[in-house]
Amino acid sequence: MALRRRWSYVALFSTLAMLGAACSGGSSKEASKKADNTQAASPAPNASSSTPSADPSAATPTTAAAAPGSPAATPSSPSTPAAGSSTPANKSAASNTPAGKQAASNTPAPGAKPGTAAAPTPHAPGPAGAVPSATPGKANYASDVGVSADTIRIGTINMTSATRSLGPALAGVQEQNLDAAVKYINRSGGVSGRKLQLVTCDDGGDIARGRACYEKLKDNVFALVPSLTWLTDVIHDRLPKDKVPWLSWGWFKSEYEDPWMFPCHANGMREASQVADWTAKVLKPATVGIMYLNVSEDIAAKDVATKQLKAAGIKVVETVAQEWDSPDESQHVLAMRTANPDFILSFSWPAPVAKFMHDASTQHWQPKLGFAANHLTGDPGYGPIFGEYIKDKTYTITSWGVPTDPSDTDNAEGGNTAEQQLLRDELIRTNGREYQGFKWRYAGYHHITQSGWVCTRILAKAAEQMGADLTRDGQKKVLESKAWDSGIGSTLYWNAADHNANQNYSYNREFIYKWISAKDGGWDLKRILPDPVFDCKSGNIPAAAKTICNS
Amino acid sequence: MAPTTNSPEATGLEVRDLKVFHGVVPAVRGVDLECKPGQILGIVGPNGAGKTSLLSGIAGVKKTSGGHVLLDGRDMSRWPAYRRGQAGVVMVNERRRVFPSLSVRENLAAGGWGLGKAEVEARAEQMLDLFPRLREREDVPSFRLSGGEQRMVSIARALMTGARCLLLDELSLGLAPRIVAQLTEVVRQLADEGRIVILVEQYVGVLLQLADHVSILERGRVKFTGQTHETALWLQEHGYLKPTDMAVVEKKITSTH
Amino acid sequence: MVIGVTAAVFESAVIIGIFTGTIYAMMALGIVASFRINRVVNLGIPGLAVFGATVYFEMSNVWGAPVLVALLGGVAVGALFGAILGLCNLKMTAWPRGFVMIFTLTASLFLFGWSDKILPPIQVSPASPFGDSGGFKVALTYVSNHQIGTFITCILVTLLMGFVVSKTRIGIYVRAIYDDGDSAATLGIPLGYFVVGVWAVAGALAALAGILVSPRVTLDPYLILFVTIWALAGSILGGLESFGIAFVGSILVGLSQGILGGGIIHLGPGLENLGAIAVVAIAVFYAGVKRRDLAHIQT
Repeated sequence: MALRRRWSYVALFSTLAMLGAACSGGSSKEASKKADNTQAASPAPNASSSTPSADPSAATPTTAAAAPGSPAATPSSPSTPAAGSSTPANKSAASNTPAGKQAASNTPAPGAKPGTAAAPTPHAPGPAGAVPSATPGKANYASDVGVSADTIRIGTINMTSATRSLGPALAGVQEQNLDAAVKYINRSGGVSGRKLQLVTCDDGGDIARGRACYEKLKDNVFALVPSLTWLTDVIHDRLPKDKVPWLSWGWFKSEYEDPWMFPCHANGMREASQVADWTAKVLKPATVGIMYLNVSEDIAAKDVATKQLKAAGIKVVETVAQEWDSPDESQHVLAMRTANPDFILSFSWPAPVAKFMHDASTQHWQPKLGFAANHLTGDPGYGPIFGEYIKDKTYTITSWGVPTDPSDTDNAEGGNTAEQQLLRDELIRTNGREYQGFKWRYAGYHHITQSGWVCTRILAKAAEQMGADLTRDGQKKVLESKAWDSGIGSTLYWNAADHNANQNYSYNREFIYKWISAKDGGWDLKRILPDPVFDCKSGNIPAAAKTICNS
Repeated sequence: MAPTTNSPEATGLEVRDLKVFHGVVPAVRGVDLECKPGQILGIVGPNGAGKTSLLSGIAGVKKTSGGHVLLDGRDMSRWPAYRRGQAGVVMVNERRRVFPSLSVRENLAAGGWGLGKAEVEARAEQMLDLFPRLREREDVPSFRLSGGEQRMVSIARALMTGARCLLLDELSLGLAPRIVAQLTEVVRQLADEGRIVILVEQYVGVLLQLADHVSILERGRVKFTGQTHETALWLQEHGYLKPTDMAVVEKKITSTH
Repeated sequence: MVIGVTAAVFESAVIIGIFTGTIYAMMALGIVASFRINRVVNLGIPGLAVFGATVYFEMSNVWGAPVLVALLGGVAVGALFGAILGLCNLKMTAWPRGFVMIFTLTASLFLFGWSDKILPPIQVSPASPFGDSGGFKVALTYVSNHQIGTFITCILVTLLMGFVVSKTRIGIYVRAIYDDGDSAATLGIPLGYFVVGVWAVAGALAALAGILVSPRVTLDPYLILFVTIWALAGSILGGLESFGIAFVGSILVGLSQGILGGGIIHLGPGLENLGAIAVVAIAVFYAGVKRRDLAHIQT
């Protein structure tokens, strides 16, 4: 009898435990710990003297000379390289000034054509009126939602408890990168005297949960920063109504059509267009096969690339659709090898692409010129998953330059830009080299997670311009008022009338990297020139890019 | 091991104040019954009287909400159905409950829990002797059998366990008179061997012909208990008994005395 | 229907399809086993598979245990959790089966979460118990030792389970409980032990499936969940009751994916799963119509 009763308690508790697990979406510890919590980004003990360096243990503090809130003064400058850094900041690339002075600054974006060079033109402020500016000497106050005299709350919604290849691997890293940016900004004096505070919400990859997150955050935070969430494709009915600025991750085309959304990364269609163009001009295959993930964005990417390749006289001999849950890709390898294209373009997701390559590897088959696959720059841990097969055969496109380790000498531009150096140093400072179990370069330098860093910095700069009178409306106007140099590649530009949904490509930089064998036998990325998109009018054109500019 | 029929402790089945609920609805509201070895206790009553629930409660198939079930003085009220089955209380259910995917022989083997292979074979042979019709169809899947054959299988399967107490639910339901006659003969024989038989029947004629005692159940309570002829008179008084059924009782009384 | 392809391409597609189907068949065995005793569609199977594979991964890849020891460890843990689920089932006999099914899904999510905590936060593929290298070329494709090993294991387990269910006394009791648990109990058959025991076997089979499937699919809970969905589709052909027919059904699903995805029949990109779904739909329809006959051959 007693046993029976005891069993009933056990059953009850296990049921509750399991239901609890179900409610949390089977999330990881980190995810559940982070879910819905408010992360106050803690300033460094001595905000005025905390200067990043390549190696946190050997930091060389430099007194911040600039006014509080100006990150311009705090990063290591090229003339005073951080300890442990043997590579001077880049002096020849577009972002050849110290990050603090140039990154996220009001550089007018030069014009360019898609596939050749950037196209945005400086423009007048939007119809709503003049761009707000700070009133000198005015004291900070609670000027809008999420803003107080001493803090600005910013929000992010991430699928941290979603599937392994998205949740802990990418969304978790995204939050860490945002955290690093917030900590850096606060340590550098904050935003015109206010500290940033990051509020996170885990939607587990579920749109309904994402909406709930949004509802919770919209009246609590000033703005949203890049978030790995499917919500950015469906929340357009709410943002203009609630007037919440969202600097978004940029995966969906619809983000470019939302006046309150500021995409921080070239979307799949743009990248497909650029990589197809680059393939046609640089690799010049006679035939290609296309592989894509069977979702709307990648179908659109496939269509754009197909059109462009056909226009260049390249025959698309096979097209296969992948499912992200595909258990086996042998059949697609068979389809491709039967069609035998010179080159394969993939607009898919790393997991099924890895399976494809694994199966292609076991079948001892490869296309003559290799593969181009998106989303593969610095993708966490994917090297071992792809295996040796990926080395020297796979190209990948990204909006941002991949920072290099001081020991790396293969950076085509001879080293990191100042902002790249800063990003690298801050990520190591905040998260360490092995956070999330990855090598730091894999974790921090995926193009989506890099967008988190870039746009948090831009948000801070824009907010700073308004000073005490910080408002969401004002933030929108400031963001739309000029081009924002990321310092690590693209310049971001959001036209007031149209955030580049229908305009020429405003992102003036794209890069191609190739997977190679690292010195230690592992995996590494090597930048391949010419770049697919280069700022031809800037004058700083690497010799290898001249073909593209001239064409 | 359950006591044998002739052992002094073989006192039979006793049910005290048994209560069974269907959800929140009471189906059996405190029933007392007693059946000695070698006796057939008949239970009769209208639809919804709680007859099947009562048998299910005794067999442990349905959870009881109160009361006691004792076999030979042992209280098995808290035992699960399988322990009661192992102790010899076996229910043969109303709806010809054979195991449809099993052949006739496999059905019989299913009743041989705890027995050695040879013993199972031997008992199965006995059952096939008892129901010769089944021998012809021993390898046929049970769902292909006729209603009568299925009923035979279910009784034979129960007997395979060496049951001390058979709880037979609606023995004659949907069966041809010839088959019913054959089955009643077998049931009588089982009781004569010293088994306890509790028989639920809607067909009063069959019940009165077989039972030694009868309890009348109405709305979950025992309305009347008595010997067969007493019950017949009660039923006649209350207008439940047809003249033909009364004739059966009279015939039985004559043959008994 | 085979248009413009060589025999080698066709053969390759068939071989690929069979091995893809084997992945589903491995997962289907656990589903059939647990359904075979108490008619609950055990959606805990993917969780048990992932957790079993996680234990195997930890033991072999992290602790450095011999593969066989790790395999036994994974299978034992699968059996243990399967038994726990079976015990929970016993306490839910009065619940609608749909609720119990959801409970098992909850168990899967719980085990997914637990596995997530144990595994490194990257996609990992455990080492194959049959060795990570080796294999041979067949037509245009390459068959690895792992695939062959998985296929043979799957056939052996299918035959073994079919034999136990159809030819042994344990099988008779299992089928009796499946047909009518109450009647079986009243015959003295200890229903509870059987439910727990068979669910433990189902858990062991699921863990074995996880161990054999994850080197190919990667050890990602959600990918294993999707494999289970295809396995469910395959096992529907036998009404979830027959190991043999579940095996055949799963191979059919894999074949349809192999043939349609391998470019043998050009429905257009992205339509191979639609083809597989059509196969499943026909199977469900067939299983529904022929329910009685299938019951006869269910073992």
